[in-house]
This record gives sequence, structure tokens and C-alpha cells, in this order.
Amino acid sequence: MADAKISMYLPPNVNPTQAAIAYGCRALPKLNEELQSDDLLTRQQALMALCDLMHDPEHVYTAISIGCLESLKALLKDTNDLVRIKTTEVLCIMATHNVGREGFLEHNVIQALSFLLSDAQPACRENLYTAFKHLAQLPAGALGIVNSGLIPSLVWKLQREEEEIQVLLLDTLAACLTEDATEALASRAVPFLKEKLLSTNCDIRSKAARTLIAVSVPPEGKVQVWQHDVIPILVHLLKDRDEEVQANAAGALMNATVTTEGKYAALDVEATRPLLQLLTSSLSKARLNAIKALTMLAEAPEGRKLLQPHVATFRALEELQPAVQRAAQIAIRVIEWKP
Amino acid sequence: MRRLVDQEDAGGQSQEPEVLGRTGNLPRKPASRNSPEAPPLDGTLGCWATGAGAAGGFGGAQNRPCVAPTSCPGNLPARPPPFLPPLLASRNPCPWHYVHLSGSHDTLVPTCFEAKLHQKGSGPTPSATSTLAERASPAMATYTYTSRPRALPCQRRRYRDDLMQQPEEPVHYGNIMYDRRVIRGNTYALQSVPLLFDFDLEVKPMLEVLVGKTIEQSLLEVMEEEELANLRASQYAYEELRNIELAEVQRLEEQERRHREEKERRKQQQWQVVHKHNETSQKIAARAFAQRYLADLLPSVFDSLRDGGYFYDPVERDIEIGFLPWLMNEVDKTMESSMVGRTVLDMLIREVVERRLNLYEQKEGRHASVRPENGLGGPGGTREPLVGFESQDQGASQAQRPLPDRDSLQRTPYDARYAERVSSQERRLTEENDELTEMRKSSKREELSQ
Repeated sequence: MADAKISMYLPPNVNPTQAAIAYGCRALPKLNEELQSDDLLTRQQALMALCDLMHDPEHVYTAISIGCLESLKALLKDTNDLVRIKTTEVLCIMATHNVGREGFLEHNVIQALSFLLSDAQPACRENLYTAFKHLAQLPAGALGIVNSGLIPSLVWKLQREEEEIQVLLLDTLAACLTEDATEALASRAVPFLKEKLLSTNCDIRSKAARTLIAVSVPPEGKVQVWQHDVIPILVHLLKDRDEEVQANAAGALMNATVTTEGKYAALDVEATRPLLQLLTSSLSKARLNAIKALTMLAEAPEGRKLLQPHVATFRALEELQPAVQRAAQIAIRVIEWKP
Repeated sequence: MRRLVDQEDAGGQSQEPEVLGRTGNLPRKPASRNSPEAPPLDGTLGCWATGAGAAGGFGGAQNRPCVAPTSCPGNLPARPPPFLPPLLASRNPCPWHYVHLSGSHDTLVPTCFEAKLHQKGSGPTPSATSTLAERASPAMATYTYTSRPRALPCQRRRYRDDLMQQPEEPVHYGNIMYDRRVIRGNTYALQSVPLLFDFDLEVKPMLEVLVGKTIEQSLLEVMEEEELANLRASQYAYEELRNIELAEVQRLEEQERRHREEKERRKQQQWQVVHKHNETSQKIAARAFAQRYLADLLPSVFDSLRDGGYFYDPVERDIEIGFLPWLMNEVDKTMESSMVGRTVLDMLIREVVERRLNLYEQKEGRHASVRPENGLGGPGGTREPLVGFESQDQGASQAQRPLPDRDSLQRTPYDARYAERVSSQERRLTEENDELTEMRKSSKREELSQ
């Protein structure tokens, strides 16, 4: 083996934008200190380094335990745009891990993040909404978002943001509203969602329909959905090109037609035909939702009359997955019920 | 240090004849370097590492071997890099490059541009060797990775009086990767390597660490994404089922509620029906009872009314009310008048009788035979004593009052005579009455006429 010569020069700084990461367990505490430094450059470099480190869940756990979240929360109010963007990015990455999410809930990060809802930088806002979206995937997280009173502002923001961000917002809202939809109903979510249903972007349409599913679970939601005449639009969406949109629209219909008014509103718009077509869709979610929606409609006598000739279709569906089987059996039972 | 340089020099110089003579000195070096590694890696390492190796070997305060004549950081763009022998091609053919007839200049595979930064250079070596080496290239028919891109020269004579070979001027390339004047990482790649350390061996752990860390980080990120995607997928599936179940629950609830309400309504209806039924039956019973009760009432009412006299025959009533009392009245009146008449007659008779009695008493004093004449002359002679009768009447009426006392005392003896007298007197009275009445009438008439 040849002699190893130690170079007299320092190793090259491969990435000057990133702070040097200390070795081993010193990495995160050092970065934490750098985050609190007064020098802007130090802070930025530390943030970049943190971004890379936060992909590892163990590092996330360590970071939270040494109190990085406090420094990050302080940095959220920084005047420098890059600092804010990078901080939100770090928080977003942390939110992808469960430890991170729980840390958020413990250290009340949602509150701190909510100050940035009207930030000037779109990148910052995007990271923010992504963080919220990841947080909302956890039921406790969704509850946290609801409890901090952010739902009205999020619904309001739905009107004002661009489409990509709207997609994120709709995802967040869909997850939060499955927990608790009362606040959203009070802040006029249904009219906004109705507009989004008519958007040109099919992602937005499908996510808006998914949010409507969540909204129409409580009875108040069903009443509002019927009052705002959303049901005809949903029936129209059943014939949409995108299958995801169809499936979600069927789901929203399934929830909205539980009430009698909803049933008759749907029957007036002749919802049975597109729903029957959906039964042959390739997406299992679409099939399930369509079966359930048809079951709802079959509760009404007119619906029963319309669906009686199609009982054979339901019987054909029985051979598939157990959920579909159950749903199809229930549907047949309802259709053939005699008072 | 000097010795090293000498060695390098020697190596370099020995390289020259190798260049010319095509012996395998130099290839020995790469061979020694590259032997432990696989040929492709050879190639790459040979391509880059030679330059880097050369560079690394020179890192440090070393003198440049004369073999690497030109490049040093001091005079970077100075001269074209030395020509490295194409011998490498024969010994270690780079798999990506194949041997073919190469024309003039071979060149080095371009490497890290910054490698030159790491090169601390020795002085420039004469370029003669390089140019000589370059000049020698057209003679060779090989093409290696170090070959420079060139246009094949035209072999035929283009111009009439061009009997010389075209001077091969250095072609100016736009691409810096091919330009000889630029120092690149592979500039000294094919030159001799110092025996400082075995680059390939040393670089391995470093590379492992580097690559390892990079892969670890990227794996983490990819895993993160994958995990998230898995989570999302499972969440969607769960959400589907949850929505379905929720909708089912709500439907059942709604159904329950509707059924319950329907039942309530029907119960209400039934209750009302029963209620009405009861009421109706009660009403019927009451009506039947009332009818029966009242059925008897009517005749009894009529009977009682009839008994009360409320139903009367008006003619009968009229007769009863109007006629009969009048009749009775009249009858009474008639009877009274007849009674009165009888009484008056009685009185008259009594008066007359008393007077006659008086007369008789007077006359009896005289004679008893005068009596029949009074009796006979009574009716005939009544006209004359009419006025006297009037006064007699008046006197009779005056004397009537004390008479009844006398009559009662003197009745019985004179009854028989009395009866005769009465009967005759009766006849006389009735006539007298008639006369009286006529007289009264006439007197009245007289009075009236008077």
C-alpha cells in the first residue's frame, strides 16, 4: 500500500451553500445552535443542511427532542425570504414523518405556521400547505388543524390561490373535514366547493368532490348540499372523463342522497342512468360508491321502480370483492323490499 | 525530491523512446495501476484517473516531471498538452473506443476541467517533444480514446502545384473539450505516474463513503416517498371502505327514522280511526236511545196537549165560548122577564084582589049581589075606569107594600073567591095591560106631540 499523504489543504467545500455537518451526534445540536445565530448566512446554511438531514426519521426525532422546533418557529418570523422558505421546507419534510407530525402537535407549530398563510412568497406558502396536508393525514393532526381555527381561513384561501396550491388545500380540507366539518359548513365551504366542481382542472374537480364527500357526512352538510343545488352538478360530473372524478362524485351523491330531499333532487335529475353506467367502471371505488348511491335512491318508491329492471346487474356484481358483494346484496334487498 | 524528479525524468525519457519505439514501458505503468480492476473500470479509471492520478500524484509541492511538459497552473493555456502515446490503446483498449486508423492527432478523453486547479506544476517542458509526438501520429493508424476529433485529410492532390504535404496547423476547435490548448483533467493522464500511492486503492474507501452517503440519502428520500405513497394508498382504500360503511350506516339510520315516523303516523291514524269508531258507535247508541225515548214522548205530548185542551175544534169552541153563554144569558133574561112578569102580575093581582077585597068589604057592607056585576062589568066597563085604573094602579102599587102583609093574613078565606076573581081579573088585567100600554103609548105620543 502506498503512503497515504495527508493533504495540507483543507478539503474542498463541495457545497458552499450548506453548513458543514458535524460528525455523529454533534450534527444536530450544532445545527440547532447555528439556527439561532445572528448571522444570516449561518442561518441559511444551517437550514440547507437541516433539509438534507431531515429525511432520516431518526434525525427528526433527535431534532425534536433537542428543541429544534422552537428555533424553527422563531425562524418562521424571519424577514429574509429564503430563510422562511427553507424553514417551511424543513417543516414540510418533518411532517412527512410521524414523529415530526406528533412533534408538531406537541409544540404547537400549527399556530406558528398559520401566521404565514398570507406570506408573499408562493414557494413559502406552497411548503406551508404541503406541511398542512401531511399533517392532516394524521387524524390527530387534522383535529389539531380544526381546533386551531384554521378551517375558515383555509376555505377562504381556496378562492384566492393558484391551482396547484388549490390542489394542496383541497387535500388538506378533505382530510380535516372528515374529522369535523361543522366549522367549514359555517364558513360557506359548500358554495366554494360547488365552484371548484366546475373547474377545468380535473385534479381540482376530483379533490373538490372528495371534500364534498367529507362535508356531506353530517346532517347539516347534507341539508346545505341540497340547498345550494350541488346535486345536479354532481350528477353531471358522473359523466366526466376522469374516473377519479366520477368515483368521488358518486361518493358525494351517496352521502347527499340520504335525506329525502336529496333523494328526490337526484331522481329529478335522473341520476340513475349515469350511476348504472358507473357500475361497470374499472375503479373499485367508483363501483362501490355507485352501488351505495343507487341503494339510497332505491329507498324511494320512484327509485325502486326505476331500478327494479336492473336487479340483474347487481346480481352480476356479487361475485367480486367482499365489500362489493355486501353492497350489492344490500342494494338488491332494498330494491326488492315490499312495504 | 531531486531523485524523484530524476526518476520521473528517467521515466519520462524512457517514455519517449517508447513513444517512438512502441515498446511497452508505459503500458506497464497503467497495467500496474489497473490490474486489480476490471477492464471497463480500467478504461474509465484509466481515462479519468490517469489524469486525476497524475494530478493527484502531483498534488503537493512537487516538481513537474518533464514528461508533463506543458501544463502547470502557471501557464495554463500555454501550449498544447503533451502527446500521449497511443500505446495505451494497444494494451488497454478502452471498451468505448475502438481501434481504428487514426490519423494525426490523438487526444485525451476530456476530464474534469478543474483538475488542472489541483495541479501544481513544474516548469514547462519543451514542446518539441510533444510536437514531435504529434507529428509522429499520422504515421500511426490507431484510434484511441485519446484521439482528437479531426477531419480526415484529403489524400489526393487538390491543387496542381501542391507537391508538399499540407502543413498540419493546429486546428482551432470551438469545443473546449477537444481543444488541445486547454488543460483538462486528462491532460497528463497518459503520462507517467508517481509512485506516491496507489490511487485506485486509496480512492476506493473514499468513494465508498461518498457513494454510500449519497445512496443512503437518496434511499432515504425515496423510501420516504414510497412510504408516503403506501400510506396514502392504504389510506385511500381505508377511506373508501369507511365512506361506504358510513353511508350505509347513515342510510340505515335514515331508514330507521323514516320507518319509525311512518309507524308513528300509522299509529296515530289507527288511533284516530278507533277513536272515531268509538265516537260513532256512541253517537249511534245515543241516537237510538234518544229516538226510543222521544218516540214515546210524542204521543204523550200530544195526549197531554190534547188533554190540556190545546187541540180544539174552533167551531165547537166558538159555539161553546160564544153562543152558549149568550143563549144562557138570553134564557136567563127571558126567564127573568117572565118571572118579573109573573111577579108583576102577582102584584097586580094582589093589588086588585086587595082592592076588591076592600071594595067587597065595603060593599058587603052594602050588598053582596053587586059582586057578579063587577065581575061582568069588569071587562066591559074597564074602559071607563081606565083612568081610574091608572090611579088605581098607582094606588095599587102604593098599596102593594102594605098589602102582602094583609094578604098573607087574609088569604085563606078568600082563596076560592080569590081564585075566581084572580082568573077574571087576570083576563081583565091582561086586557088592561094592553090598554094601558096603548094608553101609555098614546100618552107618550101626546106628550111627544106636545
